[in-house]
Amino acid sequence: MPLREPTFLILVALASGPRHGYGIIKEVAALSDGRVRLRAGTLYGALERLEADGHISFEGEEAGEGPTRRRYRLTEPGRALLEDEMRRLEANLGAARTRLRKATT
Amino acid sequence: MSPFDSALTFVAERLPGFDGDRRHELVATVREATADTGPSTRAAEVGSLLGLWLRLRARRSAHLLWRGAALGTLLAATTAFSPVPIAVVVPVVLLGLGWFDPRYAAAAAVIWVWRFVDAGVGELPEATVVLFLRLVAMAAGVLGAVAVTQASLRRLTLR
Repeated sequence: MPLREPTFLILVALASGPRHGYGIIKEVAALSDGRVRLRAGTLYGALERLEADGHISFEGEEAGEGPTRRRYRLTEPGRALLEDEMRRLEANLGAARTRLRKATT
Repeated sequence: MSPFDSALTFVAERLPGFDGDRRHELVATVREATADTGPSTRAAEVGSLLGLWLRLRARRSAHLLWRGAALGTLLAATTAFSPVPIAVVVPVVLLGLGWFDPRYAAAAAVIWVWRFVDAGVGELPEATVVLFLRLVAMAAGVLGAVAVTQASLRRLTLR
């Protein structure tokens, strides 16, 4: 089943390393040039589901200036899920490019 | 505490399946994400948490009900040919436990539905008074068990 865009972007945000909740929100905003702004309900709903399915795991806690926060990391099954989704998107993109090229020539 | 902080904490404390650490983290994340934003963004964040609460509650309820239904089916099958006292006592005990855990009330509802169907609803026109009273009792049992399941679920998911 195709991933929803916020879930896909959360996995992409975690691909480069573990992050806490606000770090994921910032990374997703940067990845999408500010187009996708994750709300907390969307983020924590997706994190809860991905963690239950074993696609991400709880890495440890990060103590900064504020309160101590959990960090999430991508697991091997999560990486495989992201790679599957990338292949699916690339196939769709390739098919769309081919059809557009044919239509314009 | 501002009205926004109060609303945020109120919803976060009611999210089913979230432990204390995750609730604190969620509140900290929302505070950071809304630090330099206006009331509309803050209201949208509280709205998104309410949406999460409803989704988690529905998912948790469905999960519990399926487990209760499976238990009820198993017990209905194993007590189908039991002596009457056991056949009566099992769903009543489950209903009592259902006040504390909706799975047991759902199991009691399933047992009474099976008994109701098994008692021969199709023979009702020629039914004896005893059979008719049994059917009424089982229908009341189903309705009671459903009510207890709903009340128990409500208590559990508001925790």
